[in-house]
Amino acid sequence: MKIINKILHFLLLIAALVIQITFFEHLKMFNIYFDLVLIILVAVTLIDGAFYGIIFGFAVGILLDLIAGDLIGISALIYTLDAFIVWRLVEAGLKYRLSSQAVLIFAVTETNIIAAALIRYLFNYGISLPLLGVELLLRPVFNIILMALLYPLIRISLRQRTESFEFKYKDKA
Amino acid sequence: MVNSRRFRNIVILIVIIFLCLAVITISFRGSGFTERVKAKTLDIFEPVQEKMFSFFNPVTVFFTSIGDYFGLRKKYLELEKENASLRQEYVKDVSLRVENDALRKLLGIDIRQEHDMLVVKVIGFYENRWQSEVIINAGTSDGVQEGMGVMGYSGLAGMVISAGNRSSTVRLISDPQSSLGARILSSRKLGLIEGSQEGDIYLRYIAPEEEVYKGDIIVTSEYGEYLPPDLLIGRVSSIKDLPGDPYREIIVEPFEEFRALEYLMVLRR
Repeated sequence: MKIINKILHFLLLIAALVIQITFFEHLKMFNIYFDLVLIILVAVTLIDGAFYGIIFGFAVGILLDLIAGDLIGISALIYTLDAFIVWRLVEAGLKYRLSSQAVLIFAVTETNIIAAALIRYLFNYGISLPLLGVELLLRPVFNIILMALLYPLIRISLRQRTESFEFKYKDKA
Repeated sequence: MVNSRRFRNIVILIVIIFLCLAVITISFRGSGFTERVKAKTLDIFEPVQEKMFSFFNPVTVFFTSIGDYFGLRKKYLELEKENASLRQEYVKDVSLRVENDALRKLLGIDIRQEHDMLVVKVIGFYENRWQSEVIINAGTSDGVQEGMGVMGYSGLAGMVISAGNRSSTVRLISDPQSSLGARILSSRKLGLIEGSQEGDIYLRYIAPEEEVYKGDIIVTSEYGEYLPPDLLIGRVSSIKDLPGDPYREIIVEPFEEFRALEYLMVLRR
């Protein structure tokens, strides 16, 4: 049953990836920056633990780069780091509340943006600092809004896990 | 138990980081293997992407319509004016074309060929500061190859950079990595069209003493490796002479609206 849940969570990440490319990426043209894959990955890491979060983050990141990236491996590295950050923050004592989740999403979104810019810079891509600044301000806000919309749905479908979340997570980590 | 799990997670993380860095390096250096894997992955996801894109399309069209609604009247008047001028140009063009074909025949030069176009559907979109790409539902099985030009209804959209069996990736001309040979239609001056991280399209390597005006039409040049000449790209929207810069800063407004891409045409050779 546990393995089936893990497989379902991975398939959910794949579905999030497809929705990201077919719908949410299009909204960037209107300056709306939602990262559905990131939100679902954070949820999966919280529920399934750091090990599966890191593995799934790597797999989904590689798939994203293969479908739509120019440099394969960047999204994989970034999503892996995101899962690691979620793990470390929860181990440090972050509780499962909406406000804490907002802090979590803020932290991983900022890490995403800075890590992507740094890796590109190391590989001789140009960086526009004003645009970087705008992204650092706007993207966490949109991701927090998306998280606030989605997490109640995840909590309803996974009620048993979230009720004992605080006790279960430390074991899983 | 907790410590061993923590150790396991750290080991996995370190292994994956090194793996990612290796993959990024291989991808950066360019590898046939990664291109083949990319093409296969595109093919696997193409059916699902196509269905999902069609499902979400009404919503994206709704968002586009909201933006378009506020400029409708102004756009209508501009289009009416342009239409009237184009009707007059069309009459002249038909006679010029007939004359051109007759002269080519007389001189033994090949008659100008029409392009072989394949209409494709956009099934995915990917944009960040370093990329601006769309995914289309046609690949090598439809005769699409890397390097082929892709047009929208109004002008050049981009170029195919990766072709799978049933789907392909198109780099838009607003992509910062995009670079195409171009000409100013009126003065025939050569330049280079490049995208940027801000999303603007620049015409590079035009010296301050060369004639260029706001509204000048930009087309592809005949010196590009892949694209046929005289494909419409856009119109000059801004010209600046920057102190200390040997070239002008010229921004081009593309004819093709990238927000509302739904169908494109691949120029098959």
